[in-house]
Amino acid sequence: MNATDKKQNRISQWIEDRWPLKAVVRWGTVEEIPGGASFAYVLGSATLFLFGVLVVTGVWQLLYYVPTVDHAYDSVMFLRLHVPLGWLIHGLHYWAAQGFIVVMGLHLARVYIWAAYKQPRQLTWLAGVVLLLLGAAFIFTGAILPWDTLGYWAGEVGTSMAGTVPFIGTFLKLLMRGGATMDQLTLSRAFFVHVAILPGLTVFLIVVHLVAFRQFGSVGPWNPAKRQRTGWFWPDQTFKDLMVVCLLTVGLVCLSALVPAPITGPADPLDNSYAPKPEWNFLFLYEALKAFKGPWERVGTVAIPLLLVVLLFAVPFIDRNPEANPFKRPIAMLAGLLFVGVILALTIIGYYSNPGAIAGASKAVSKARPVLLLASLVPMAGFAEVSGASPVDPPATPRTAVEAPAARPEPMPSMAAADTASVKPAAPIPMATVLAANVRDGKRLFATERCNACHTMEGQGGTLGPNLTHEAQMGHTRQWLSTQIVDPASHNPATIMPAHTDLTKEQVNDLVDFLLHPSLAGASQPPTVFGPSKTPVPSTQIPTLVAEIIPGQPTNPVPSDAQSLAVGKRIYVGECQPCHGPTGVGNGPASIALTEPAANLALPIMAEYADGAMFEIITQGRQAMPAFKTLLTDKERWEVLNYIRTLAPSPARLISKQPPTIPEIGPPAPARAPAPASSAVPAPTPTPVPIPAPSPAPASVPAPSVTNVTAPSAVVPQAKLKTNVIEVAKPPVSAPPAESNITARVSVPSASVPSMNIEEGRRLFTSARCIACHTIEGKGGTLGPSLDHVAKLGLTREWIITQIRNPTSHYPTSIMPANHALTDQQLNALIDYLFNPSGSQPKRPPETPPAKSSVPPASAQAAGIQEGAQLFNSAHCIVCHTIEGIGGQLGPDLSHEAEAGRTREWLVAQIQNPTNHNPITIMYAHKSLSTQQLDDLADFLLAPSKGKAALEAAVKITQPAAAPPAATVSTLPPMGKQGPPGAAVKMIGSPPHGEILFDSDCAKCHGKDAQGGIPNPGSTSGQVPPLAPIARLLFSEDPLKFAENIDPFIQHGARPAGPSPALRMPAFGSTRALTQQEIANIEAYIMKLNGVNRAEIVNPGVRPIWFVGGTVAVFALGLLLMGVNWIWNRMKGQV
Amino acid sequence: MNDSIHHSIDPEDMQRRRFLKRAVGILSVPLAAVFGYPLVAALVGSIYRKSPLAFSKTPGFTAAPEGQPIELSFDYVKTDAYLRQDVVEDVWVIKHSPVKATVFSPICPHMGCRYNWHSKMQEFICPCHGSVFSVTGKVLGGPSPRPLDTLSYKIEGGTLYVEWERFEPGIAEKVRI
Ligand code: FES
Repeated sequence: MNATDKKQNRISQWIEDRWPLKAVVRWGTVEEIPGGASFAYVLGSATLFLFGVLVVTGVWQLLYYVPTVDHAYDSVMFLRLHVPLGWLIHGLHYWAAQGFIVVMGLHLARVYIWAAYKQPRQLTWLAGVVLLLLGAAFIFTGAILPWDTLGYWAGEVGTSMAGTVPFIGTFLKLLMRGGATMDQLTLSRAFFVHVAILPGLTVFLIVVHLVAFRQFGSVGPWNPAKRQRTGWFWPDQTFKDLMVVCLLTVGLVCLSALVPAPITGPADPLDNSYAPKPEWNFLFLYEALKAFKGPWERVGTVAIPLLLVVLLFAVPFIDRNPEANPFKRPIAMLAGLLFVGVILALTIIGYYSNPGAIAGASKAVSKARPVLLLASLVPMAGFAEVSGASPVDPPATPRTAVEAPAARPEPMPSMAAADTASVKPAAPIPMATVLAANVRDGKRLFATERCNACHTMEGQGGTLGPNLTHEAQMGHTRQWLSTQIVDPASHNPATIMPAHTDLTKEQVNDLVDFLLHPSLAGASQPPTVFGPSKTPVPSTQIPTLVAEIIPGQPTNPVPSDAQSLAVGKRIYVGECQPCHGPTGVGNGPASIALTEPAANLALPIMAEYADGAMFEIITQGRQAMPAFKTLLTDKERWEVLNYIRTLAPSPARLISKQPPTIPEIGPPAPARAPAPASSAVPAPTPTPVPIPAPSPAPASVPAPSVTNVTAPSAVVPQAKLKTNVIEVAKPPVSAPPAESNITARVSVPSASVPSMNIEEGRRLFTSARCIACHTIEGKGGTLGPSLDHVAKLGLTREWIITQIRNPTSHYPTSIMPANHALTDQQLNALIDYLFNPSGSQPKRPPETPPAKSSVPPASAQAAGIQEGAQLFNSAHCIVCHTIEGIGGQLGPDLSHEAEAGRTREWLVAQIQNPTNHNPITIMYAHKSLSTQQLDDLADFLLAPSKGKAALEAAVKITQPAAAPPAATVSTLPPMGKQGPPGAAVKMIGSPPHGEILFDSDCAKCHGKDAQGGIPNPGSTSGQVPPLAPIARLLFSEDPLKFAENIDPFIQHGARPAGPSPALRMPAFGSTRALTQQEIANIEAYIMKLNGVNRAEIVNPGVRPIWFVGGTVAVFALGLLLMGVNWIWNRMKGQV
Repeated sequence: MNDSIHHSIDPEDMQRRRFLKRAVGILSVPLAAVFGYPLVAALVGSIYRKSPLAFSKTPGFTAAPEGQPIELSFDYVKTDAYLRQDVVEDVWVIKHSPVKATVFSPICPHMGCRYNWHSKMQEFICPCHGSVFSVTGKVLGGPSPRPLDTLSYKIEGGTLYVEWERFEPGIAEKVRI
């Protein structure tokens, strides 16, 4: 013994005197193994080793990770991309976790085959089973921690699954989430359990497991002969264990370096387009659960997992036969094989099964079924209840489908039922099947259709209408919501909500999908009870009329022969296809830039329109559609019409304008006389689309409506009574009250009341909610006219006060709510502000009419036109109507009244008493105009171009600052003038997810794989730019820079250079059409197409591939040394 | 357990065990290295990180008068590990020509106060301890140990881009923090 040894001995002796060191070491190392050391026994040690790796890498991750919803993802990505070898630590943790489960499973199987669970080792087995469950809990909670898409949905589903446990389910779910929704507290809980509770429990059980194991030792081979020979744990088994540990290490390093954990983008509760499957560990469960639908679902969510656990626990108690030889335990072996086989098979099926409809397959999705996503892993209560309203449609015809919902009563929205809701049977297909595209499109429509001007959703939006955040819980059916959107008056005759008849049925469905999306109200919050019938409503039930018949037009003089069709097609491709699409359904690339969808020319109903009407629309254009009067000759227009006729499927085209036939099913549509409407198109003769209105129609609903879409009033009266009518209840409009009554009722504060300052008025404009409908200083709603130039309109203070206090006294049909709450002082302040919004000038010059001499009349009629033009301004027509590009947009453009076939009499009647033409019009009756004035106005309207100069002059004089209101698209900033990048640049998005979004949102214009090539007539380049390769100026090798370069375009949109580009880049961020996370994902995809990896490891420390090389090298060196050791040992032994 | 001696008597067994023990020791080394290195690297490797530099667009340069210091502010994205924050910083800019300028950090090299330009005296004066600098940044008086710190800039298409950085105050050398 040399000196060092002696010293060592002294130290160990010193410790030994105070702590049983030797005994502990001996306990840990000295074990006689019957049958000798074997590789069969390494699995337990390997599990322990992996647990060690998990502990160490887990603790290290705490150096960087923060468990907050707004930074968890970024902190994990910082660790992975910026911390030297952080990628490895994260990767090791990820892969060791996967390995942990695998090795544990193998260990369990080994123990089962060797019968190592039998007397006296039952407790060892039990502790092992509990450890396996703890492992599953680790995987579950750990997945939530990065707060990425995958983890978020896994958490959502897992907690909802717990919610289906009988009796205590709701409590369990709330407990796991720390509240009703998946949010910060959920993350905190997952963190707390993952890093504090589970490790503690696991260590405790490992000790229990090992103590029991050491106490009774290894079982050894079942063959008694083999058991005679014994080996030692130290160093024999230790060496074998270590060999395996080294192999595992190399494997872990390789996997971490070469197969990094997926990057799925930050969690976005609203986003359903991501359709992940559960981690492989839970695939068998996922697959098994598919078998249980409806009331049986809890068999899948609770009974099966419980059965598995109970079986595992019960093994040592069921099989008490001391026999260890597997060949003499055929039943146990068969049972075990069956168990493993079933799990393996389910896992494999689950692996190859359809993960769900790919987002972007869009509308087809709701028909493609059964699609199952992660979210549908468990058709759990939280989701499934909402699914009562989901459009999983049996391919029913529109007609029959309308009947179904009509037959069932509307349930009473009842929040009180929420608690019991989660334990009731649920619908077969979870909500999440209505995925992605629909919900997302709906979300976008909610912004672009200005629903948000009146309705609040998730804390943003107007307050004129009810908050729609919790619509999914209000108990409204799809049908109800659809009807409410296209024909609100059928639910509430006095509603002020405009009928959104311009929406296609798909759009209405998308909106409804969005409104019913469970995430809006906190994902799986137990919603209220739905009606007993889960019959879904097909998405095809709302018909949309895309054009109106314009009467009195000629029939097509050009025969529809091959030649004319060829010419027509050529014209169509060049002129129409950009918007209407190759098949006419309105999905052309340019349609994305339209505020209103291009007409669907392929609808069968198109065949019902007279040639003359169609020709007229082509000639004059409508809304966004240009007039082809000068662009195409008459013959060409007829030819293109011939081609358009081939797009609609119906061969039997009715030339006559008789009302279309009533469909076979359902009662006849309510008869109503075709009346001219004041809607956006000149001289429409509303053609009721044949929809079977369920009878009896509620008597309270006034039958006619301006809408050409007669949405089914599917609500039977009794049901209707129960429906929560949320609109501002207003008495049905009756005859206009006499002027004298009004003045008697409204106390008009005299202008002498000292006015407050303009600031107060500005504040009131917002707090009194004027801003919800009226725009001023560039902000506000568009439901009412813009109030930017009130001072120039010649209104008196008294008039405005009356208008605020009692709008219907001026305009009996006004939808403006009366405001009696404002004091006289406040009213004066408000009016001061309206007269002078900028606060710069004293106020209010009701100016003298413009000098008439500026446009000298040539004749009496011409004089009338000039007068009319000025009246058009001074009588405030211009506030709502546009003529020749000047004016507001609330009402229709009146530039083409003559071409539309309006007569003078009709116009005068419309001005004086619009409700005669359209009972629910919002246009005011201008009764104060004299007959002469009415005549002048009509003159002007019938020949607007002749009075344009006068109008311009009038506008110039009285409305110096009034610019024609810009169309939505033209508010887009020109190229290079976008605002700053949004929050998306700070996020590391997921390219695969971005690709899905790109295909549905961007590929229309930028082409598949962003290759470009889509024509953009009117732009300088003539094409939509490709994004791969992207413009050199936008490119950067630095992913962050790259993101900053492209982000402003996606956030704020852009108007391409050129005189009149047909396609413009819509703003996705500032309109909140896409979330910042989604934008980050799209950016990541675009960068990937350009060879820039947003998820590239910025600071690897050691490059992954080199680290793999280094690892292999050091272990090879170790092996070499071992060889040397062996030889040296041999030689020494011989000596 | 007490019969371990019994097993050790066999010389061949002894030899095998000696080999195995040594093998365990040998294999432990690469194992420790493979796990130890990343742990240490992740612990210490990130402490030498410097926040990345970037040029920030500084509006107002085109309209700035020539030869006269002017304070221009710009938005700057401050990166703090995974937190990114939009901050506004300002700098003193002396425009010499549309393509040439001097950009001073607004932070006094003495103790880090913000100094001011006094146009009457044509001097930068720091209110804290009275350091005085010329328009070229030279120390004319007071305790400042070094001239005003210049910042890198570039001018593209008439627009000024400034690279924001900070320097250690109180020492004679200009050392980036
Ligand atoms: S900090 Fe400026 S002089 Fe001291």
